[in-house]
Amino acid sequence: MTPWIYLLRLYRPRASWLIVSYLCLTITWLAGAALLAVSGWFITACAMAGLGLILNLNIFTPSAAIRGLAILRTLGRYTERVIGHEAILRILADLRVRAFRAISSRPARVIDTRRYADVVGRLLSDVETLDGIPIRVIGPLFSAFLTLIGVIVVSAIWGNAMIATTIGLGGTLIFVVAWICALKGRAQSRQLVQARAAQRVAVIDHLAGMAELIANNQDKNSSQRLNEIDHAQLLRVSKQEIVSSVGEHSVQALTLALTLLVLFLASGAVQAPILALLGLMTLGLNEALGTLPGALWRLGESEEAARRLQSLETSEAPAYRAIKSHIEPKTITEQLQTSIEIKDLMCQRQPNRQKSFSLTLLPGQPQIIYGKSGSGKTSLLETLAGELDPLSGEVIAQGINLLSLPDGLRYQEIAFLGQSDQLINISIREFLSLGLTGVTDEKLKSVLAAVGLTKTLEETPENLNYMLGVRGNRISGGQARRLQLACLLLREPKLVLLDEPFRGLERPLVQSIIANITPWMANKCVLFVTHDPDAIPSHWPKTRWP
Amino acid sequence: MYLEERLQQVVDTTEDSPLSAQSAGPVPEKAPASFLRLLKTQAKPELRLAALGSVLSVVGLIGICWAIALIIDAAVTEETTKTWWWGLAALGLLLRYAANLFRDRMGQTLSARIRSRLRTKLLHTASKLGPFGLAAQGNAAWWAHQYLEQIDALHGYLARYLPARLGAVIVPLSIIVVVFGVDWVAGILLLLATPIIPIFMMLIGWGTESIHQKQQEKQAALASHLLERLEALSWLRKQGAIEQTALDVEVAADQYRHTSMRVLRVAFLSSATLEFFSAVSIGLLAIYIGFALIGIFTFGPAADLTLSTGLFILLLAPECFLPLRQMAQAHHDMSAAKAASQGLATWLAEPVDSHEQSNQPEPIAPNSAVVVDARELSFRFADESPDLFQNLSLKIISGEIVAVSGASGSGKSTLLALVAGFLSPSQGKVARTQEWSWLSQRPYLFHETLRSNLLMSKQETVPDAQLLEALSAAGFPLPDPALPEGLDTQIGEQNRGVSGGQAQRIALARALLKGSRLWILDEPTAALDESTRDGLIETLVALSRRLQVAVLVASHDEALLRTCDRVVKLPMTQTTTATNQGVAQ
Repeated sequence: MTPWIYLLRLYRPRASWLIVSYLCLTITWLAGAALLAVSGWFITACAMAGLGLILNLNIFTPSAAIRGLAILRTLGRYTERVIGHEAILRILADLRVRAFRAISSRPARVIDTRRYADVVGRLLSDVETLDGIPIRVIGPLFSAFLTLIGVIVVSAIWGNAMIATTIGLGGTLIFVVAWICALKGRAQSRQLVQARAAQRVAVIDHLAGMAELIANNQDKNSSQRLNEIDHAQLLRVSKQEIVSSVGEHSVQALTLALTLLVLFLASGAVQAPILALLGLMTLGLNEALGTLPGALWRLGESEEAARRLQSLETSEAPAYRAIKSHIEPKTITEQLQTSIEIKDLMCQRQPNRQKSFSLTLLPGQPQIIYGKSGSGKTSLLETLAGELDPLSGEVIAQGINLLSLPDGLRYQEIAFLGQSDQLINISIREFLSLGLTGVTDEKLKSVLAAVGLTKTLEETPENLNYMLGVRGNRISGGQARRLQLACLLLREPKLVLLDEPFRGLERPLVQSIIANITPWMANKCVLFVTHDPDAIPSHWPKTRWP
Repeated sequence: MYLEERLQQVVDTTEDSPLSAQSAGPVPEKAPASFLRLLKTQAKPELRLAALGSVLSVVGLIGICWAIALIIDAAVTEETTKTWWWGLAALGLLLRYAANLFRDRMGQTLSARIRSRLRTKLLHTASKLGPFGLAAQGNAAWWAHQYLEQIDALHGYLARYLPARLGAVIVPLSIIVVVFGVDWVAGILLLLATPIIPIFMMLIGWGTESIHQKQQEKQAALASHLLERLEALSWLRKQGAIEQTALDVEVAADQYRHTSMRVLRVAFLSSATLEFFSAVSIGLLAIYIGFALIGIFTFGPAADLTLSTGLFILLLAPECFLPLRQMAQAHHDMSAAKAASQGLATWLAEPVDSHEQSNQPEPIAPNSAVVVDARELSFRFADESPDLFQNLSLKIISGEIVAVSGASGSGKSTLLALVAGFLSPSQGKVARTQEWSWLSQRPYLFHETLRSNLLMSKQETVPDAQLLEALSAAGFPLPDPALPEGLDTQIGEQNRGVSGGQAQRIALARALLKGSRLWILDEPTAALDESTRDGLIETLVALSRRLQVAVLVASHDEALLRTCDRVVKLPMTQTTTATNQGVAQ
């Protein structure tokens, strides 16, 4: 499926809105050209009547038509705007949901966490590009074509075939010129994007590494280099801008030239009022044709944005589907307590390629993992959680390799508190009950009590309705950590993986939380990663990794 | 109260960075407006030429319209057209084409010139702030965003809005003057319509300006709604809340549509008004001219109106409104520039101070035994704030290991920054050897190969064997799985693939290759775990002893303090000198 067919399918549900808005745009443009044409015809006819060349000129119909066209144009413009934006906003909503589903349908292990921020940033800007296509690209192209057809038909009726053909050919030529400029601009914009990325890296190097640059006496050189990079970039941008200006003004100049050509062909061939009508009508095409360069220019960006979204939606690791089909979820979940065996696990980003990880976890007997920083403790947990493909090995619970389960099933068995906090701006109640139904406030309060958040919560008038703020910026880092831990307490997984769950917390608080959650851990296999093993009960077994 | 706690936390973590107390403070309301005014003044040379372009474009237009009017006029009397009419039209067309290109070009040139200047100035400001001042304001990504996107957000304002605004005055005015010369009644008709439009637009605009702002806020809120859900996707997936969140996204987008449309319907009235007045005034002109030609109107100049002059006026009229429409289109460029200058004004509004004092300490001769000689230093963040320390003196000789210790916020990092030259003392003088290296809590590795990262300041080529030797002396012998391609490994985003301890060792190898006589270390072990820390301290001390390198290290790491020759304890009481207070080990 080409990106264009993909896009058309994307917009199809909103087709009726769009078509009405395109028709309104066509009416606006045609009314504009007609207003000029009728005015020209009218005053030329009046002049002839004044000279006695035309007898019995009806002056009321044309002047009524002029007034009518002025109003039609205004109405056309307003309706086009309102309906067009209604369509855009609907498409925007569609696209946002689509983008979210596209990313979230990818299995966790396919997502490269290190590049994820870039992917999200690009996706959001793609959504912005794509929502504008129907109005800024397709609309102008479609309506300009209809307007041109309208003008050709009029010139064939009142003029002759020769004039109509000329306008048709002229319109085509203008389209081709606009297209060539757009192609030229598109080729340049790829270079621009790459050069821009390189410039960003250079700027970040300069700013983040300033201490090192100063210490090595390189700061002046580096500033100088940045200035040069910026100059080169501005030069590239300016080349592209010239192409864009040339496109825009060439279309204007060509429309004027076409007007002169029509006048040349029509003088002598048609009566003076018709000559005025044809000439001014052709001049009126300017408004419609003038939008072509911009529309075609955006076509390139749009195609790439569409391709990216399409590839995001269609690429999914197929291996999961096969496994999914022959696993009955109930066979695992029914039996509550089970030991878990980690067999010969080798992780990516593991510094020591020779050593594999094996461990048997028993319910109610939490294990501590500690070791050097940068030694891959976090990677180990991510691998155990199935978010990073293992190089080898498996995690067996009741004869089933948990790592082979698809995300949905696996996360029923594994609860994982990762290294980074991921909060969104919803209420505490909503956050705790994400993915759960029918959780009572009493239950929510009891897990909040377990992690020591009751007191702070009671100090707010909103209580459970307290909003967390964008990315959780209305609560502290330690509170965020505990809130996420509380989320896990509402679930009954087989395996619990906790990566520095008590980061930034005072030791007495840590100990009280551990005491509170011990009953919950009693029937689960728990693996802790911590840099401060002393805060944790000494009788829990500790494993050094690697 | 949650917010306060959060703020407290932020303060806690940045307390030791010396400039955190010196943040810019709230920007006054008027700053963006006056910043944009300043830009406008700087834009004058090109704007004048752009105005000339607009005038020439109108001249070309007049030529075309006059020629077309003559050609149609000739058809009435069935005369043959004269060659010079066609020539005039062609000439006018070319002049208009060239003048328009020229006008656009001037806008683009002025924008490129000013943006380039602002970027240079921002780099200058950054250098003046130094690494600590920068970090106090935001991370490198934030600064890069100011440098790239925020400055580029001014482009539309400079390249399009300013010339368009000038054109919106010049073009209608010249056309009205010309039309007045031909027929004053028609001139009055145009004159009435043209100023009415801005007045109406202003009336509607007063409403739409605030509406526009609200709209932008809502749009930003909607964008962040999706963004934060995508950022937290991994958590949502773990909680099995993907489907629930997708519905949430849909509902938010739908609500946004409802509120937006209510706002937009009003906003579109302004463009409809413009459309209405331009269409109606063309219609009125046509009817006036027609009735004058037919002989119904005979008053004033109407009697003298001919078809050619009438057509000429009719053809010019639409062009009177075009620049106004262009300006309306460029209006969002202005809002974008206003938003961007909110932040930029803080850094760029001040004229560059050419005779500012240099941060750089005085050099000490390479053969001197003394490597640092700081005398009677006082430092305060701002003129009105209290001194962080007063009359502090510190002398370090070759091979000496001196630690600076003290509670958070006592000025450890500040003292180091003064010796390094990242900050200037309020009083006193610093002299320091030129051969020094800086190792911070998290050393920065550049987006280059390991080799270029090691060779930073070296111009000449150094044999690989020497590089490998330095690495292994720093305790990071190759080959290592973190660096699969050895010296040619590309170091990526956030020191990708290299752990904190390894980055320290690469920075140490860099310092070794440079052959420094002084290492300044700002909490080198703060981000490391215990075993990595012990290893690094061991390497550092051994190397320093062997190579007779002086070390100035800020730390509250007991293990590190024990191995030092001297410890400077901050805060210091007045007029004591560090040399006397040093604790010999």
